[in-house]
Amino acid sequence: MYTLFMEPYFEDLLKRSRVLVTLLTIVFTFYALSWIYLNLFVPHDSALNDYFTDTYGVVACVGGFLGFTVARLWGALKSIVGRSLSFLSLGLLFQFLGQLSYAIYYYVYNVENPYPSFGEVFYFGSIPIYICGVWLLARALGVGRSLRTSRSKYALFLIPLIMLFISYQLFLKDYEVDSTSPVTTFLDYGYPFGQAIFISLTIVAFIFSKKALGGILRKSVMFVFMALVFQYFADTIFLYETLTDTWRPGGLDDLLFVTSYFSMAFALSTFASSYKKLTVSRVKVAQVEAISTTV
Amino acid sequence: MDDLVKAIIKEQGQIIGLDLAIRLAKLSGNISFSSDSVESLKLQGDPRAVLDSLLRSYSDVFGQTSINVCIDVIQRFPKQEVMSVVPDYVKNKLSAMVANTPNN
Repeated sequence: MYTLFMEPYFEDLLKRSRVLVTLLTIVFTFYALSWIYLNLFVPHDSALNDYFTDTYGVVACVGGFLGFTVARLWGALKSIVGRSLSFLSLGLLFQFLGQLSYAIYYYVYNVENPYPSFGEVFYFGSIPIYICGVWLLARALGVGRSLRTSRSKYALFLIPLIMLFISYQLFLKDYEVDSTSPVTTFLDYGYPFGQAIFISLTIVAFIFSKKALGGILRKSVMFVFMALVFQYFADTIFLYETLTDTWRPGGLDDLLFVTSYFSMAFALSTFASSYKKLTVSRVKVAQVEAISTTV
Repeated sequence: MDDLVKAIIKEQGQIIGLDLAIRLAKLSGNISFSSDSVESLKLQGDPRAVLDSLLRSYSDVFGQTSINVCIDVIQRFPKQEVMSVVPDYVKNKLSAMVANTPNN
């Protein structure tokens, strides 16, 4: 009914993204069902839980490649939206690489939970990457313009302060600095504060863009915001469980991470379907609508 | 008018990618390109209708947010040059912005 108006290059990218979405769905479904199985039928101390914990990052890996494919539809690094999608995809890849690093420590070098380790380059590195992704998305949404004209500019400072305060209360209030391990101290402060910054930016971007945001991309952007909030909750619960020594492989937090990776990958994939909708010939749409009204 | 349309396409291109910006300009129905370059554009028909359909085409992306980007570009051009060709829904916003500037 509709005529697609695009070149083979973009058609090829759309086909690739469809394949990756199918792969992502299969992988996510596998891990979601596995988690249910593990928690219903498998003892907590079984090695199967470790295998689950050490491999679910593949969801983020597939999601990252999917995101990069979709980013190319939007100009990759040559446009603000493309750069945002690229950074968010890189964030997913970094999550995968962080998990891979820890898995290598455990299965190759027989080191259990080597925090802090080389894996932190990727895990901690994903925080500024996500911050860049959200920052660029906010730019694309004209948040700067909204801030200039808004009477609620104080929210720009208040929201990060509130989030930093919450992070401090949850994770650092009773923290004792270990002067013999500066890297650990840096990361112990850096993780909760870094995550507070990226979630603050997400909330600010949402608040200052929602009034004017519309069009075909509105849903895609909302999905990205939701995925970032989900990621923040997964990270927060992980930090909390680690602090209270209640984290276990194959536990609830692992499911939250699997779901947050899938949420972000799904959000990125909707930019591909949005691209396709945008490039449907509006002339043909007008013709179809004209025919529909006369029938 | 050509310069205004080119500027809008380029500005949208910064945000959504130049390929898509040109594609959406083509799909607006009143603009054609003889090559992949923005500079090769040709406008067809009434300038006001061209601008209106271009803005509506871009509004498909981010809604009012995309229109705001176009308005920011329009504001860079002399008022007497653009006020005769901008749609009414943009003219009202431009007038409101001019009224709120310190010199007025």
